[in-house]
Amino acid sequence: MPKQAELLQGTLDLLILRTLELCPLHGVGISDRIEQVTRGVFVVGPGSLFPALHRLAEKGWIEGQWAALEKGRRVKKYALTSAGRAQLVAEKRSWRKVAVAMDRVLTEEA
Amino acid sequence: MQWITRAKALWRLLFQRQRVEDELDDEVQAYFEVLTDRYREQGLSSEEARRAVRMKFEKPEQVKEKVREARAGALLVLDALLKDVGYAFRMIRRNPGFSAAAACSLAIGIGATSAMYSVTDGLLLRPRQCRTARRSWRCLR
Repeated sequence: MPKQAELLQGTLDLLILRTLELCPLHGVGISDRIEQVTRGVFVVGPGSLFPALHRLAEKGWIEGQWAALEKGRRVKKYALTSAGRAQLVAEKRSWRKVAVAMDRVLTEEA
Repeated sequence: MQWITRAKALWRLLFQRQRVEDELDDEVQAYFEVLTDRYREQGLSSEEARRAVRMKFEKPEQVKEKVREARAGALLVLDALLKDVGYAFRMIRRNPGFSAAAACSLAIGIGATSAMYSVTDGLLLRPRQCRTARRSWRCLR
């Protein structure tokens, strides 16, 4: 298993928003999706996932809804709100800016 | 409309505390059950599956505590304020005599001070309305 990268502050919010852009998911689903897409670089445990989910829900960017799972389990599925969609667009843009800037610094010729 | 969402969240946190707490409990519980189910599907017994989840992830109680901390923020201030106000009222009710004495001494103190200041202000600080010393006794009367 590759060593897990440390999450930068604010990165987790963006990861979650982006993951929920595709479809509503419950907690385990979000963790799974992030781990799959980043090929295990980011592993989000419940101790960081749930605080982030509740923070985002409080800001009105995502919304939780109880849904039935197979075998009679009930889980809370989170979906992006329209405010969340707008936020995601803004955060994507600022993240790209940071990424480009960091890349410039790292590839600068001496 | 974002402030409405926030206000609603704050309202729920303050006045429907038990429901918020129960829902968080259900939610975290469900998360761990889904994980346990997954281990069970891999052929582990229920007990083994539960143990595997306990080993690999944080405990549900820790997760809930972290959520509570994340939600706090501005709420903590409000919460402390409400608690203080509640405490104050309880103390007033428990000790009515003392509270009345305290209120009276405050009232007398504030009354006396403002009376003194009004007199000082009126007599000494404001410029008198007359120009000559001769007429000044009339002003003072």
